[in-house]
Amino acid sequence: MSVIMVERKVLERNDAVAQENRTLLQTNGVFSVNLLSSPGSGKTSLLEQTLPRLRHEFAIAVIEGDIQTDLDAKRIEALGVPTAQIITGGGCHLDANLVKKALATLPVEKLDLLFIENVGNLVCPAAYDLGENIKAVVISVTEGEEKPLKYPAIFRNAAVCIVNKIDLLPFLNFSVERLKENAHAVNPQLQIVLTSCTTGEGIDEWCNLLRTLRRKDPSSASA
Amino acid sequence: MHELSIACSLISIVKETLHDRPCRVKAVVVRVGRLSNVLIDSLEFGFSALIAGTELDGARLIVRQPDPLLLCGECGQETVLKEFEFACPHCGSLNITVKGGDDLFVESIEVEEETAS
Repeated sequence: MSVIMVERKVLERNDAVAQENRTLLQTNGVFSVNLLSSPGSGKTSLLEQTLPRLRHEFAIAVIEGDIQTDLDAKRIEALGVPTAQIITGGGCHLDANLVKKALATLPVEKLDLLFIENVGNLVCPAAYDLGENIKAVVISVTEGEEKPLKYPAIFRNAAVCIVNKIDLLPFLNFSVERLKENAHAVNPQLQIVLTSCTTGEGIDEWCNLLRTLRRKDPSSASA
Repeated sequence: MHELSIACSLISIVKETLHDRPCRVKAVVVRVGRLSNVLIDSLEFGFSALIAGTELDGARLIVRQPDPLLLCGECGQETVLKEFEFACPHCGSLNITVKGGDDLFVESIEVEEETAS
């Protein structure tokens, strides 16, 4: 019997396409955000609050990843923002190739900012680089403070954590402090923003953070 | 449930590596980091389902899961990460990097050469 040494990354093909996406976005000065969360944490609602605040300043597009239906894409299109829909038909995550196809339908050369709303899932999307600048993970206060400890991979790789639905805090036994401790235990650099898409609280802070992160990114700042 | 697509990717790496080499694949050794969110049982199940009836039929999937290493940026100590506690156990610093946590590699393939009969 003989042993053939291989030592190749299993997802090397995904990573290579992700790099193509990254190059395409960076050469066009597009800052991109991969939005991740459990189903129902409020990714689409967050975009509905964010886009009207930023669209006069930046040319924005959205890639909507869903298992089924274009309901979320319709909500975003209603805001007049170019939207590319990916329906995974049961697939639990977006991969770089799906994003590459979606990018081909968007006016990338005219964009400043791209949001990729991933499929609602905190497990599988963590493994797939899409070519984005940053990952932002959304959790809602009804999900419990332990979320970062239960899903460390996604919280370790994210730059921002948006804690949504804070208008519900008075009705819940949820400690924002404990959530912050847990999140920072997993990722000390994680920037945390508290938001409510119902009252609009915290959305300006999140938009400011996006402006800062975009400015800090060398490729988008120069464009 | 992304284990099936991971199994697909690793099978295509095996096939690419072997080209048309006349051999029987006995085992495929993969390294799966403990932070990679891969469920080993599902990966094994997906692998065996995908190779049934193909030239890889009968190959075993050997999964290695070495403990990730925690490198401290303050005191420089290197510790094996046992529990998922991302702080240096020696000095308490949070300035740490994790090595090998999200590894997902095909390490090697064990084959039996087929001699021309």
